[in-house]
Amino acid sequence: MAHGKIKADTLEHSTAGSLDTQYVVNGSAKVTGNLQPDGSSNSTVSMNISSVTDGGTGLNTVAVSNAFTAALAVAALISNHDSSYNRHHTVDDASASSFITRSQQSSVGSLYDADTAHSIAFFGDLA
Amino acid sequence: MQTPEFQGTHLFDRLCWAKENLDGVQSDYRVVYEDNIDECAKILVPDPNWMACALQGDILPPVWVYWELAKDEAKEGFIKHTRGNLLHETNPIGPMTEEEAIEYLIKKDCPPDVWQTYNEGNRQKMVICRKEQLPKTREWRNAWKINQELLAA
Repeated sequence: MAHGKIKADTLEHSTAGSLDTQYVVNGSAKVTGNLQPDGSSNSTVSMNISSVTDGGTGLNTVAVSNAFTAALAVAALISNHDSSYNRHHTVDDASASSFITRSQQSSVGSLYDADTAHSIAFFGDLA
Repeated sequence: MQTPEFQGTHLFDRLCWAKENLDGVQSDYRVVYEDNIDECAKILVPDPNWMACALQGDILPPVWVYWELAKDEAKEGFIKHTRGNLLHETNPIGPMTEEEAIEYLIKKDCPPDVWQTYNEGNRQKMVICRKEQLPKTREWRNAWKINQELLAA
């Protein structure tokens, strides 16, 4: 299937004003993934990930193909896939191309990854 | 499917093309490594869409590009990457076998002090195995180590 190309620097609405398309390009997620604790990931979701490392209970390291400009240039979102209300996650930007996710459960009091999976979306400028 | 002529195309755009046109390939290979004697063994799993790119060819940059960026990032005073063009403008490499792709991934995503000296010293720090050779459950996950006796056998 052939794909056309639309080139535009600005999007303009008839009444609501205009928007520079750089906002669209720069504002979209550059990394997405749906990760299992054992490091396997869902190919329908994953984008710009080269590998996921299972680093132990509750620990995954996501390595990306197209690095960001810097580690601290990344805004990371992470969500959990189960019905537990007391889980929480953190993302440690170890480098511009490597991010450590930590999954914890308050009722357990430590890193914990039984019966769960999580999804990630990273935003920022690519190198 | 033929890969388009991607020389000079932004790597992210190449990955977008691959996501849309290639089926993911979930490899059964796993890379088990130990980078800290006080920590459990880590298990690296290739991403299915990345593996599809590696097998297809002409999408991924050569692995040395990542080493150059890692060198830049390790420099004192590093603020941001200024040589990202290496990812986009270096000629993509051709198709790899699954085994070659795993070797590439080790050199890209494993710590260099692990893969460069994996079989030196008195215990092996890295091994490539198949998924079914790993424990079936994650019980005692934080105590997993590479079985040196099995390697010696």
